[in-house]
Amino acid sequence: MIYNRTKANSPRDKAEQIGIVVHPETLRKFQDGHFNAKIGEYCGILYGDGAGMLFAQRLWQGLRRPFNKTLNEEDIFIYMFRPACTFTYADELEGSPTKVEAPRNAVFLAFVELQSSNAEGTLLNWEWVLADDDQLPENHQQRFMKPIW
Amino acid sequence: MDMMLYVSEDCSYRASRVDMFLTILLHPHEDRVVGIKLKGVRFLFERVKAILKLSDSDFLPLVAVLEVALTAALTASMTDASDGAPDTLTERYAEVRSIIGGVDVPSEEWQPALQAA
Repeated sequence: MIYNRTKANSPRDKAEQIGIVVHPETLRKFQDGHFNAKIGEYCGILYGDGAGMLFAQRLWQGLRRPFNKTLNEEDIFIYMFRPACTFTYADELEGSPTKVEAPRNAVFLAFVELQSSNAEGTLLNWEWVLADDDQLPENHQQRFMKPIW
Repeated sequence: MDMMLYVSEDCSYRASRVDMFLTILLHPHEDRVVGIKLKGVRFLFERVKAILKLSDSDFLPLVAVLEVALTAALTASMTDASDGAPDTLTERYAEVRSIIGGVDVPSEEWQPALQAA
């Protein structure tokens, strides 16, 4: 069973927490496509014991995307993590995911759309990305609008 | 989100952005491509459909979508070099053609309602 709710520090005030819900279409696509590594990353890193996203080390606001008129790019927040390992499922999505070696020279990002209430966010996607020399996402200055913390 | 993911191996890939459309997905521990992420798919979908005169029920060749993305990226690079020189862009796109050659995507997978991931 995949728990689709977790929590994270609020982009508005790091001392506060917001609820995070995984976008159902994201989860459906990863499950239907048998992307067990993606499901494992969510369960092992972002969900963890129910508070995995509280381990985020950096946060940016705003995702630069081309030709997208349906998304308010400033409502997207990018949480960055440096997990010591990653996770996957060998076959069935049952029980706990299996720990595997973290990808080389990479950091882990989670993309969250903040809802208008500011009390809840929708987790849209997550992935490992190549890191620069400062152990930050490669080209983050061009990809993200501004750092929050 | 307005993007499409194609992965040939189930692994924790490392994403590396090429330009506003294309992100290459690398193996977690080896320097080889295991997939691509295309952004701006609504824009690309409409153009490929018009060029190839496809209907809503047809399959779209992924390589054709990539060609349209490259053309748009090259055009953009003439006014903004932040995404790299035209020669570099062309090389990076050529790298991924081999892994997506022959891949067709059902039109419904490109529809806006399904583009959450």
